Amino acid sequence: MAELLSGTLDLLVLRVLHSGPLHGFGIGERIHVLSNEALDVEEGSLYPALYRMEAKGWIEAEWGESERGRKAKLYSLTKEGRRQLEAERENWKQLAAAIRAILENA
Amino acid sequence: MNPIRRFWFRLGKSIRGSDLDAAMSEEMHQHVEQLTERYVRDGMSPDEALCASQRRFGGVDQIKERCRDESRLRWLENFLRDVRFAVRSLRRSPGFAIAMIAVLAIGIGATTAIVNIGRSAVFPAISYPEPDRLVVAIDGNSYDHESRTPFPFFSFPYRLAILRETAKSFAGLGGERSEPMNLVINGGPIPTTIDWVTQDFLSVLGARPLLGRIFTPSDFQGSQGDVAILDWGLWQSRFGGDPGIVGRDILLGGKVRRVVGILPRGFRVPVSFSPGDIFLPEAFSPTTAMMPFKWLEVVGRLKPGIARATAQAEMKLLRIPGPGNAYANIIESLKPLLVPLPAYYRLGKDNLFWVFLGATAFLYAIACSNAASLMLTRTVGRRRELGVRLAMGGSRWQIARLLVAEGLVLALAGGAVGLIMSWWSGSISMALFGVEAHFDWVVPAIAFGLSVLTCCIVGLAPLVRLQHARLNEVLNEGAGSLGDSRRLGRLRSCFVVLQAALAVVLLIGAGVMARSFIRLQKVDLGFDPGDKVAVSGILPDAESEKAYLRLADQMREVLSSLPGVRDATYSLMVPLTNFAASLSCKIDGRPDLGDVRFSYNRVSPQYFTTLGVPIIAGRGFDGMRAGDPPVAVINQTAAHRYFGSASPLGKRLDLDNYGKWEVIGVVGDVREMNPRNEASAQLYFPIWQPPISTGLLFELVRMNGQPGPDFESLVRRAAFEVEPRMVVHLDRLTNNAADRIQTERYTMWVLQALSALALVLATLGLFAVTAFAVAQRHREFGLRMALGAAPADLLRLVLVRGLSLASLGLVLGVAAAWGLTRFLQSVLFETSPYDPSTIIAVACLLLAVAFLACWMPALRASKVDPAMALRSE
Repeated sequence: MAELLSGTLDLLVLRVLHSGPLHGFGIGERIHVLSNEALDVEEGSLYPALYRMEAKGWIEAEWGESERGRKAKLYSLTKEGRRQLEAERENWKQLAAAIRAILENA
Repeated sequence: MNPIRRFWFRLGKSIRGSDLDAAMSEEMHQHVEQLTERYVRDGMSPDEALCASQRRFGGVDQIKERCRDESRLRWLENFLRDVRFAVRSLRRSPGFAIAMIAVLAIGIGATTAIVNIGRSAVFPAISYPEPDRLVVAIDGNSYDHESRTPFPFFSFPYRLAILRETAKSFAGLGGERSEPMNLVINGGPIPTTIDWVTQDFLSVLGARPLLGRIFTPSDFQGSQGDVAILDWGLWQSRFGGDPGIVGRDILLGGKVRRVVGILPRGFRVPVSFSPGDIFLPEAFSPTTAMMPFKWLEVVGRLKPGIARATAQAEMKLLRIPGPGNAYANIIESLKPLLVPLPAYYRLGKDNLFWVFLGATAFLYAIACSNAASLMLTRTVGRRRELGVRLAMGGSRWQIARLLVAEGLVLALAGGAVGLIMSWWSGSISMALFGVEAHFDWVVPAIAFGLSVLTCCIVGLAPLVRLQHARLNEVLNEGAGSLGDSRRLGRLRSCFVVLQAALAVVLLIGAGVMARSFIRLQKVDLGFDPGDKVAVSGILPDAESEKAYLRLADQMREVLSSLPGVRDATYSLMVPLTNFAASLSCKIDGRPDLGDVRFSYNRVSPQYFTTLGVPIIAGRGFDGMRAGDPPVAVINQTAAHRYFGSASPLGKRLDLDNYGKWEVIGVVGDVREMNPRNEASAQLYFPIWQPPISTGLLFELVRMNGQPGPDFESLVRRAAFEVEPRMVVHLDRLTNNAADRIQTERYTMWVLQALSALALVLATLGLFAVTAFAVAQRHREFGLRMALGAAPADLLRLVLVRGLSLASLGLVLGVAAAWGLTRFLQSVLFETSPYDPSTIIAVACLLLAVAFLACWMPALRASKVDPAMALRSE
């Protein structure tokens, strides 16, 4: 699996949560699926990241019911998180363009 | 989220720690379950799936730890945990904890108390509105005086009246003078202090009446002036706080006056003005205003925007002598100086405060080094434990945090106890400085600040040790190893030397102060105050000169006939009663001297005999009476100063309007004001000889032995019968003499207390170090004994070590004292700060005490059983 910078993980989590609240396991699954199974998030990275983002105010957590009817801690985007998502998206685009430019022209 | 909200968020999570932990576990557990289910769906067996999912998830606890790090205030939680641990481990060593807390309490408590007192002395609470607009008029001459306590006065009220009308700088200018009066309640006289105030006085100070009103301009005209305002204290004590007193009449000073108002509880006239029980309006008519010796204390309020310099310039109006005024010389020599009220409050107190602060800082330093030393010992004792912590993965930083937490707990505890001790700073302050020190929020703040500072100093001390800790050694070593503990021992020895040095400085200071004080007490006043009582009487209204003199003589006879009285005399003033008067004149035949100054006193013929002052040349005023040509008697100082070795007898003093006075005698010197100050040039003249002032009368009574307990009431009754309006006040001159040296007395006490504490702390420090060293070297001593040393040798070894530390401290201390005690110079009397006998005494004391401190450990050392020592670990 490719090495992910922690900033990138944040971006992915934010994107995934954009579609709706999910619990930790679900987020990992979704990332795995959406990336066509290229990315496999380590739990050891995921949960600290989730807690960090919660402390920063980008996501908030609530105990609710999972699809299985079980109690689960669901994370969802806050307004600030949405703003952050947009910002990170922009950043990523610019970063990707820059790297591509270097690779193609150097 | 902005940083503040983030902080609150994390704080919240920290507080709910355990709940959230449970939730977190649940969350992780869920995740593992779901992962297991997936693996099962993928085809694994339940057991394999569980294994696989757990393996994949990884170390749950570590992940949880990282999650906690992200979401909570770890530093706070760690800190609290360290504190809890510190408290637990301190509980296990109660002796150490108590010793530390005691030492810190002394250091922090004393410092806090003194700083609080000093704060109140240097920045006293001034409760007037806009106090920086207030100025006090003082005599510029007395302001240059060495003692720096100025004489707040302003004489000749008509000048005040002129100034009030013409000066543009002042929004208000008020004068106040006090005199005693008898308040008659139920037929019996109660002496009270009356403050006569001019029109603006109360409003300048922003006084608002509690009940009734304050004076209005109409009160100062004619007979409408028979009104009075009561001070809150008097209202409570004599009238029981009865609000009905407003509007009622009282009999005061032989006159009926109506009470029109009561002042509120906190109202005070400015410091060193006379505090009055009752305020009366004083209006100056042209005659009364011309009379001399109505000393007013004047305070003014500057108009907004006007600088003090402008007002000062306007004061120059006062220097012009009035028409035909006999006191032109005196008036011309006046230098009214306007001093802002806050600065005025601070005058004269600075020196003393800095001396105390310095001494207290020393005590604090001693306490801190003592505490640090104790802390160091403890660290040594815990080396094993700390070593194990290091081995188990703790970082040096974490261990440091642990020690700092312990230091903080101890410092806060010590600070709390010290805070309780400084509770008393309020009452001590009142006694020492006459200043109220309020125990407000600043005091705990200071105590807390000191605690934190102390904690840093004390907690950091062991860190020095940690630098050199080598893990293996620490884990493997026994208690008897040398090596590092030698370095530690040296550090502790340094502390002891430091403490001894500081204690020595304080001891020398206290010793020098004590010697100065004893000298002061023994100083020759020129007369014996032991059997003298001063009875002062004041007549409320100006009587004619004849009536005044007659009254004075009547009083003298009455007093002479009282039981226990040997004789009595009367005069304008009596030594040690804080009155002074001076005049200048010329000396016939000595135009080169120009105007010479004399302090003077007007006395009855019996004065010199009663007071016990020897007549050295010529004669006194015996046998003379009113109408005789004017004469004078001068004291020895005056004779030497103005006449050198020539005899002053027969020479004439030229007093302008009052004629030429012949010097007919020379008497011995008397220290009139204060035992500290040498006698000034003094002039005596007969009491019937002009210039005469009425109003104030002093009777000096010489007793056969000590006055009995009811002497005072006898005198009062006798005086009441002679003249009911006269208010009488008694002073035993020995008390007065003692009062004058109160400052020195208190300085001495404080220094003695501080140095005693310092000595105790230093001794304990030395004892601790020596005892510890002996314990450490247990094995070494056993070895020495086994190799042939005698017990006496070991005894000597330890003693010499301890005494050499003390000696080193002594030398350093004396050197430091050499440099520092000159700051005491201003409060010392005829004593040099480098007084050798004090230094020798202190040295002996220190060495003796050090000897005692080392004795027990030394004895222990000599009793070491070599076999046991070598076998033990």
